[in-house]
Amino acid sequence: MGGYASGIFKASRYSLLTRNGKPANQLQMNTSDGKNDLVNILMIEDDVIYRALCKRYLAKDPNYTYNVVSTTSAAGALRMCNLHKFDCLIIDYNLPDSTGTQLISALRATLGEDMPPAIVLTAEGGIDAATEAVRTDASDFLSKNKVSARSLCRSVNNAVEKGFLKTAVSESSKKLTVAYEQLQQNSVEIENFYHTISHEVKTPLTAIQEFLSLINDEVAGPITEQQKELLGYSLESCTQISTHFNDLLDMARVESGKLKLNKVWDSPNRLLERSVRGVEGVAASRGITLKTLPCESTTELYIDVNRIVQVISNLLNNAIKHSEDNGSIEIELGITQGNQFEFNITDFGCGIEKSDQSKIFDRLYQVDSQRDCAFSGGLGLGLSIARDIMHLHDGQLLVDSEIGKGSTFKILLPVQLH
Amino acid sequence: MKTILIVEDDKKISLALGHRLRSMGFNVVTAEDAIYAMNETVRSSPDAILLDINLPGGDGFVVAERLKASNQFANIPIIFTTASKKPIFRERAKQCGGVGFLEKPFGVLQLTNAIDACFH
Ligand SMILES: Nc1ncnc2c1ncn2[C@@H]1O[C@H](COP(=O)(O)OP(=O)(O)OP(=O)(O)O)[C@@H](O)[C@H]1O
Ligand SMILES: [Mg+2]
Repeated sequence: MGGYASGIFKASRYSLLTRNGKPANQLQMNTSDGKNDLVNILMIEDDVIYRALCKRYLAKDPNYTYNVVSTTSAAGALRMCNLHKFDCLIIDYNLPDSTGTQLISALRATLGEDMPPAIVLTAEGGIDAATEAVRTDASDFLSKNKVSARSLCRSVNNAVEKGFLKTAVSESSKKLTVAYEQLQQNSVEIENFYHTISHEVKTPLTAIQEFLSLINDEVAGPITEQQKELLGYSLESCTQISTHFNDLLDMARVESGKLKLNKVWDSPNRLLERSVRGVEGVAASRGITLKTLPCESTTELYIDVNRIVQVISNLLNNAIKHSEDNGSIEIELGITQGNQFEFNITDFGCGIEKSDQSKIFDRLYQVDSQRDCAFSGGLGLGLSIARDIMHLHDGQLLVDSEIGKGSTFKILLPVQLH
Repeated sequence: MKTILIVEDDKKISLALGHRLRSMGFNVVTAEDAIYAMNETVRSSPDAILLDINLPGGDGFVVAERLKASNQFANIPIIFTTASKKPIFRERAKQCGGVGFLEKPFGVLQLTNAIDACFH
């Protein structure tokens, strides 16, 4: 047994508690000798001599030290099992008030999952008893007259170890369930928190934005061209703030599993149009041309339109950010050989190093400002949300880029039957 | 001249929207919470209501439901506004018969479109 197994046994040894949670007082622990563990055995056997024999056999086990408690009847066994946790039961098939297999069924009914492994001892030639023992899911059965120290110890060892493993597995799975629920709870709390701060920030932001645009629209009197330009910058920043909060909320919603798609049929060309319209202003302000190659096919896609527009806009914004002034960006749509719909967004900017290409989709990852030609703050959430949205659509988001030459981001969406 | 009731607990937003709507040629009345909203509706019988969802003393949906339940005011078009992004608000706004839904911060164009929808 390696370190892993002994760790499991330790957990089991210290869980030697009575059913009502108090430490067992009649059963003592003894770990002072060199052997591995103290194992608690309940022996249900009315024959005093046979009981003594088994105890002697068990004392020879090199692997474990046993603490053997005994009782002479099925009724006694039920009572003791309700009081204490045993690691293994050794049951005589012929009991004064029942049979060994009936006792196993009765114990299983009251103890359920906590039922310790049981070994049934059958009388010579008790084939029927043996088959019955197997049927009731006893760990093992031994013929009484042929029991030796070796066979008894081996059988008990097997049963005990199986029991320990079972306990360990069920304890870890309980812990996992608790941890999972806790995580789930945490992400819901985080999401609620983001909702609250987002609301609290956007409320004054609404006032700022509205007052600025009142001035900008000359509701409060005429302003100069330069004043207009400066106000324009402030208004852009307002939009940026709400975008950041929306990204945070999206991230939290993905995390808590609450980001749900609202799918409808729509044409790819219309999607492209909507996405491009949103970034035209920014592109124009830097003299960047958006070259779109619309799709000839009449295929419609079954998608959450707002979400896919969000993905494409995100990629376009990144492409614009990383292009040089007066550069160009190409957007191409079509159907791949594998019958998927693709959107390719290509810029001729600084490109992304190979080592960064797999990381840029990670939450909050941003390429080092030394290496990123267009580092401009941001949260590093855009691509991770985009990829999450694509995955929710059973689609993909891929990148191909060469440093100094530019990047192509590819969206793939499944083509479904209308 | 058409009258628009702004129900909004944030005084600055209310002030800014008031300026905006007056500049667009509307008569503007305001209320800061759900109770005032009802009082002001009775007093000035607005032609449309810009109704914030998060309000002290009962949310905007409560106001909308009461208005819909009355004979007199059931047909006043309502535009919901909120700085929250909870999807449930959008759904409830629809159920409450909202004509428009403006997510704060919103632009002039969105506001004009929503108001046009009220008077089309
Ligand atoms: N077209 C591109 N060319 C070069 N680098 C890019 C391109 N698109 C993304 N990147 C790199 O990938 C990183 C992650 O992009 P992502 O969109 O996730 O975050 P961001 O744009 O920095 O911030 P946010 O989108 O949250 O405002 C960026 O920091 C940038 O360095
Ligand atoms: Mg980005």
